[in-house]
Amino acid sequence: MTRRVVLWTCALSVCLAVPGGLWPSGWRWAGGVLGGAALLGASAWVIRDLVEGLMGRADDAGRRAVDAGGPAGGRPSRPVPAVSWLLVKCFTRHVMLALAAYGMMVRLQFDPVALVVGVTAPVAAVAAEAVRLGHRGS
Amino acid sequence: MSTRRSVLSMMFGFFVLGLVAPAHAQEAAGAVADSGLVQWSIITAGFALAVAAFGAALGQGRAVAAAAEAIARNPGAAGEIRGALILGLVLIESLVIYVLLVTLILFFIKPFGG
Repeated sequence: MTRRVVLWTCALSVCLAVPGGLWPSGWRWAGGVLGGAALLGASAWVIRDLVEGLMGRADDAGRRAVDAGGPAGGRPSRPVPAVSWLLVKCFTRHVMLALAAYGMMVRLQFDPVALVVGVTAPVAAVAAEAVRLGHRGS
Repeated sequence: MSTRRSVLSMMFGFFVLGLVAPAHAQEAAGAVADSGLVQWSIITAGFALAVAAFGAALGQGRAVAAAAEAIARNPGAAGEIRGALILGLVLIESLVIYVLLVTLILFFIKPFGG
């Protein structure tokens, strides 16, 4: 499902960005749409890494608890990142995301409405996927 | 209960400070015709971002709590729950990014002049 949402998002963003690039100075619109989608994509990347890191830690703790009674003696099966490191990465990436939004809007002067439209693209992709799944289920 | 009261009093304090600060600023910059509108738009942007962050934190906390409970009840469905959790968190985050963009527009693009 997630892979399909990503595909929908890419298709929607390109479909929304290409018509903007057809007229002069339309690159601001196109860049805004693609930049907005990239912002939400970066946000999704941050969240996915954090959730998978935390759940990986939980998995590893459970595995160690099971192994503690067996011959393995409760040693970690693979190196797991510390929670503090995961949080530092998450907050640093969020700061980078905010700086990227600032740079796109103020320095590159992308169209603000296009940025909002670009952020909407993944949401519309999720809605489209939900509708598709609903039709398939009924 | 006391925690809730202290949080509410802090929020009220911030609100009062937000009301007082532009009143002082307006006296200094009274010559500019629509400076009040600019100041109010900046204050609104700040409050909007604060409210958005508060609501998103609340929603994401509830989502993570529900997902953790669901995984504890049914560890076999952890993969599907994880996917749904990530999707939900991203959708909640998208609302904050909307507000961040609107705030940046109000701060830097200044659609109301200033």
